[in-house]
Amino acid sequence: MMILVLILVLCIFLFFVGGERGAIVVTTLAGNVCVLAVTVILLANGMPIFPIVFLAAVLISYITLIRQNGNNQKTWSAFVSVAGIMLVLSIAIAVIVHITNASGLNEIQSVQEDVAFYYTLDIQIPMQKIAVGVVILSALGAIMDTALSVTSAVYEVSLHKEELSRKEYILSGIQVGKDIIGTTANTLLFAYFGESILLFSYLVNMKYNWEMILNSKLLFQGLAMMAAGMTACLLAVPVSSYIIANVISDK
Amino acid sequence: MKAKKAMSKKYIYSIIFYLLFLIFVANDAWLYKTPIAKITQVTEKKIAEMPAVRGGKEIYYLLVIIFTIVTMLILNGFHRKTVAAIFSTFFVFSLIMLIFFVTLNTTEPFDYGMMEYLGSTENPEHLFIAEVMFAGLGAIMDVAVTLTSAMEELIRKKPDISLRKLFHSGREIGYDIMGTMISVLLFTFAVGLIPSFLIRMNNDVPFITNIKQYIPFEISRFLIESIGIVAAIPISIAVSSGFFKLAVRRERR
Repeated sequence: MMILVLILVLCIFLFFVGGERGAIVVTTLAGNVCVLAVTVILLANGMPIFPIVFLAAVLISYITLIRQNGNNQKTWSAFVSVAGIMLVLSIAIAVIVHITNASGLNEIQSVQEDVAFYYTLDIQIPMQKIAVGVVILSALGAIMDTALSVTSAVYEVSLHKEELSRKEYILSGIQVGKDIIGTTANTLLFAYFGESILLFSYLVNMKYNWEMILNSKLLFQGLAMMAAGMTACLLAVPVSSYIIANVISDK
Repeated sequence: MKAKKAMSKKYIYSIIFYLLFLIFVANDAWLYKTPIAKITQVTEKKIAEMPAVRGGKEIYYLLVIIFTIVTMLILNGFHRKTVAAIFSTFFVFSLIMLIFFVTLNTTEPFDYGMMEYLGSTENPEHLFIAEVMFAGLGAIMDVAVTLTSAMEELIRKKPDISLRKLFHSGREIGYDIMGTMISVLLFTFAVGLIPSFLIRMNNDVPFITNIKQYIPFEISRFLIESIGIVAAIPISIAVSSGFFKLAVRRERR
């Protein structure tokens, strides 16, 4: 009930502030949620994990970048750079998850009442691969944000100053990227730590000591997600400025 | 290179600060013994009589205020635009908290038994409120900082720019950031839930039941945050343009 009221309030705000653009945001959001839901259902039915996650990532970035922000050079170069980063990053993450064995539910999720007592954990899904998919998808939003900001800023620069060389375009993209990285990292930090308030109060109530917390899977999972997101954002700056510079100077 | 080093130092400071802060929030029994808490407890009794904050943990408001100010100062330094961004963050924050409490108190209550990580906590509602408060703060601050620095840039380049033009270009910038900001939040919130979803769905709990029973907290937190992002656009434009215009006028005299 509360959720319905909040959805209504959000839609009203979006229409009021954004007008037509707000309506586009609403449809994009709905599309992304649908893609995520379908992904979860397919994964639960035991479909192969990496192809599904990759398809979902491509679909989501298509919806968010090109449907939401228009079909033009800026969004296409952002799309290409997101796809490239995802490819590199997923290999790196797969290796890390394989080495550290940090997959599946963490300590607290697995002692939740229903999970521990009623369910069988012996399901036919390789949780290690799921963990890779989770880290990749959670970084996706931040990567798209950074890539699009860089490409559109460089594009604006190219509109005002046409005679710049490829190298100068790349440099200006990196300059813009430096400014963006700060606030994006801040947002990610808050979003992940905001979730961890409950976790920390649970740990305090349960009298966990520092040794246990430092060795726990849950701290590792949280930090790994944050580190992957931030690394991806950092990578997105040079990659997307390189791509947009090439696109512009080829024109 | 020097600037980069300073940036990373700032981030380390803010991470350390945040960790300390989490310990404070988690350990609120201890927090209530500090002298600051004594002062707030007195005001708290007066505030608690207002229906909107009934049952809330008023000390969290204080923490939000301290936290916003310190983070903004660490990240942006002491400028006029930092002050404007802090003010607009507070306005947006009070607006979304108003919406949150009104909906929380008028609609049917949640079943807090299903909350993730609940464990032995005896007051889940307070923790839920704290979670809602802090999770969206970063995004709101992000929007506020972006918009206020853009506004300042515009006014500095063109001191006699009209208010209408200022609003117009501020809105353009706001449109560009709001969509992607909302999707950043969507992914950080939704994707972490996938593993437990998969476990439940393979134990014959249908997808819809999963959503209805297990994640209403996450969904409403996400919605509140998105409302905050959207509301931050007009509010920070209004606050910063008023702020800077007044300053320009005063300088002329």
